[in-house]
Amino acid sequence: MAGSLELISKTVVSSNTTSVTISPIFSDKYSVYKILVTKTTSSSTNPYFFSLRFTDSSNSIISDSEYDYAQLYMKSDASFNENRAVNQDKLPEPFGETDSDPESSNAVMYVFNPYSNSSFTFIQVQSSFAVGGVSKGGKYIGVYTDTEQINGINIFRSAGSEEMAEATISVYGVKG
Amino acid sequence: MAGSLEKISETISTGSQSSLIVTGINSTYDVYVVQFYVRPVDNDKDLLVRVTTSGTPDTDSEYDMATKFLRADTSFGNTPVTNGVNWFFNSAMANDSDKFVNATLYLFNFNNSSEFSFVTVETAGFNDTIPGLVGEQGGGVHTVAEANDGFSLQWESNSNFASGSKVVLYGLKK
Repeated sequence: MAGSLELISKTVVSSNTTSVTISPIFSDKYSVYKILVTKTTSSSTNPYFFSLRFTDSSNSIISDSEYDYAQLYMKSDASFNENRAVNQDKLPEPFGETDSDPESSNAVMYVFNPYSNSSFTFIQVQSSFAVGGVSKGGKYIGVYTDTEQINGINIFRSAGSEEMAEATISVYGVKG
Repeated sequence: MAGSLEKISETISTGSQSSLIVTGINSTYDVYVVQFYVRPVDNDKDLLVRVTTSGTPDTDSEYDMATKFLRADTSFGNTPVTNGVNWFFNSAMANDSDKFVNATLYLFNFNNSSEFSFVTVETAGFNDTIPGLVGEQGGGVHTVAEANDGFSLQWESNSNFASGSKVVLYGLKK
């Protein structure tokens, strides 16, 4: 019996970059996608995070102010933080923070109905990461509040000077 | 090569169903996964979740849960329930055609007749009364040592599931 998880794309970042776009990856073949964003490190020892945007049917990055999110940011050494916002032009920090090797961020993201042009695109993310000697975890939900067809993702630096040094981004279709 | 996540069953609403049930949990797998995206035909409805025994939802008062209620508009809340008549994994959901409730759940010990049934919860949806993005993150337990063979979704006040609502049951290969 065939499995229900099909690898669609695997992207390995091995040199410094400020932006990674993977598009097209979504199609009408699946309604739910599982995306692993693993061993993400930054080019400096300053804790840093990357943001997420989607790409449209032309594979262009969407920077409209139509992203909402809520994040529970859990620290092993202090009380937890809540972060949230609506009508943003990106989803900030869905995969947690990054630092230089051997610290990194590792995350599992589900994307629901991105290719549909009749429903919003929702995400759920769980992350585990270590920065500045502190281990942390994240719970994150987000939505792109437009019904347009989404083709892919863009992970990028939204501020600062750090770059992504390493990452492996694996995209799976979940057979429904 | 066969994969390790195997689809077992699915239920899709045509718009006239008041419950969506997936069954097929047995000894083949130890851990099962449920994913769904659903919406009600009526506005402002809570999603009621139960385990099934022989395909029938358990309507006892043995549902415990502890979840964090994430929301995009203001401070998060806690959702503690003991001895509830169901699990609440999303409340006051909108019936707008573009706003589904989306969930990923892991089911543990469901087939074991001498263990409680456990579930981990991740949901993301759109609350109609806020209105805005919300989600529950945490876990639940059905505190009865019995074998459960499936999973049931129902809306508050027996509102029907809108067309296109779908729930899928997977098994994780041992």
